Amino acid sequence: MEQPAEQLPVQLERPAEHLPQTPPRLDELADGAREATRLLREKTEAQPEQAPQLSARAGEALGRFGENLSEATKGREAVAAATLARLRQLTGKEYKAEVVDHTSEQLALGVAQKMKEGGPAGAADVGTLASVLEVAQVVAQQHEAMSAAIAATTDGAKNVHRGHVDERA
Amino acid sequence: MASHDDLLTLVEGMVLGSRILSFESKKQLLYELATFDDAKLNQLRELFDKENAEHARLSQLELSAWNSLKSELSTLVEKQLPTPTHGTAS
Repeated sequence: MEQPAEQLPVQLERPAEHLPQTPPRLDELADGAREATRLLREKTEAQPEQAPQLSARAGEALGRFGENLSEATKGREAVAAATLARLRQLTGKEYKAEVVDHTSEQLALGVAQKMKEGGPAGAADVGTLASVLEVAQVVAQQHEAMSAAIAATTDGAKNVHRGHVDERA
Repeated sequence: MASHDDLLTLVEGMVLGSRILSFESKKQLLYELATFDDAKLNQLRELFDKENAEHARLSQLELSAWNSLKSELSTLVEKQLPTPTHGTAS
C-alpha cells in the first residue's frame, strides 16, 4: 500500500556504522583460482602418475568447500525465513525475499563427487583437476554477480523512493 | 536519544541495504515506514541489525571455505597460492 508522497521522508543517507559488510575481494579469489588451475595442470602434466591421487585429494578438498557453501546457503535461507516471519509479525503484511542461489554448492559438490570416485586408471584427470578451481572461480564470479544485484536492487529502490519524493518539489 | 526523523532515516537505510528483501518488498516497506512509530522502527532496526550480522557471519564462512580450499590445494601443488589481501571488513 503506497503512502502519499507528502508523508515520505526525504533523507535517505545511511550512517556509516550501518553500511553492509565489505565483501571479500572477489577478483583476488578468482586470481587464486586461476593460479591454482595452472599449477595443477603443470603438476599433473609433469607427473601424470600422480593424477589419480591428486584428483582424489583435490576432490575431498572441494567436497568440504561445497559443504561449507551449502551451510552458508542454508544459513541465508534461514535468515530470510526468520526475517520475513518477524516482518509479518511486526507489520501484519507479507514481504518477499530474493531467491537464494544453490548453483555454486551443487556445482562444487558434483565435481567433488566425480573426483572422489575417480575416473579410469591414470585418468587424464588433469581436466577434472582444472575444473575444481574453475568451480571456485565460478563461485567467486557468482558472488560478484550477487553483490552487483544487491547494489542494483538497493539503488533501484532508492531511486524509485527518491523519485516519489522529488515529485513533491 | 535519536529523533523520530533520525530513526526513520536509519531504518530506511537498513531496508535499502537488506540482502534479503526483493526489490518490490523494499519499495513496499519504504512507503510503509513513514507510518510507523518509534517503537516499531526500533524493532525493525533490531531485526535488520540481526540480518546484517548473520550475513556478515555467512560471508566470513564462505571466505574461510575458500581459504581452506586454497590452503589444501597449495599443499597439493607444493606452492603457495595467492592470498587475498582483503577479507570481510568490520
